[in-house]
Amino acid sequence: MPGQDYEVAVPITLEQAYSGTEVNLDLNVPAYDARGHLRRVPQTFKARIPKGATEGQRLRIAGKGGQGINGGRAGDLYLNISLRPHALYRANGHDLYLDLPLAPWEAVLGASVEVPTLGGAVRLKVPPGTAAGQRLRLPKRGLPRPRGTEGDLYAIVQIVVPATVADQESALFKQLAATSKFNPRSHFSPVQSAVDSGGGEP
Amino acid sequence: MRVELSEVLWLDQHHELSLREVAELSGLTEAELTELVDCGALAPTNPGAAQQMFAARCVVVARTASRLRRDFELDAQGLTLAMTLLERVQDLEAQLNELRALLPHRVL
Repeated sequence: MPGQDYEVAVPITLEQAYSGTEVNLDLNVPAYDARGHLRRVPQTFKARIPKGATEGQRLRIAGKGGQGINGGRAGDLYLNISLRPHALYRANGHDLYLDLPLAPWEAVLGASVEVPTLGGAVRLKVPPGTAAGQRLRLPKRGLPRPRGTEGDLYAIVQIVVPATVADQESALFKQLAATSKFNPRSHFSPVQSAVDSGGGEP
Repeated sequence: MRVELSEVLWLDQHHELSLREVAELSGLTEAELTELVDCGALAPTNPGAAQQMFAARCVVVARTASRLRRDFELDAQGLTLAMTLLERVQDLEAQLNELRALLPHRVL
């Protein structure tokens, strides 16, 4: 009769998923002692997690489960990979997502900004007229896949404003407000007009 | 104490196993696995072939089915329903994870 299979959760960091890693697995497994009694004994395994493992990936180590009975084969050890939360990136499969804060003028005028990736910082060209929530794709800057290709990194634009502004900055913003014809809420007007006339949404 | 380094095997869509191998690894019989194929819970990579092959990822599904059958004594219909619901949960979790990844985390 084959031995019992064991399952163990293995949380790894994104950096470890990116490069591959070795993990120590300390398990308390049931095993028969010399007198035939079943006892829990500590066992330590070291496993090589190849690069490309991501959330929910299952890996199998053959023969590292429970002892076989009456000459049966040993069970297997199954590793259930999970990714630890990261300060910058969020993973979805092999793709990574990163918040990219931009100043309003960078979003309007466009900019070249440095973006951290797991493989090192890269420069990203932000096109003029970039809106909040827009996704800017950095191909092949995500997590590697087991067969050699890579996921993508998506920088999600956030437009942020300074908490305080100097007098000169404030004056420039006032000048912009007076000059600009841009109305970010122009789509409100037809709806409001229809409501005011009692006709509901146009 | 010297700890031996163990090599892991991927359970993903790239490695293929025969029906017999999936049966051996999951604890289900080949007939039970065929039932799972018939109800759509398991899909061979070469449907219609004389010797069906399965992506190694199927071992995870088959092992779950094995646990459900053994622990809850489910018949084929009950097992199909449970597997369908589990698959639905996994799909929803994947969608939730994707949406979470899109949500900005840093509030400035």
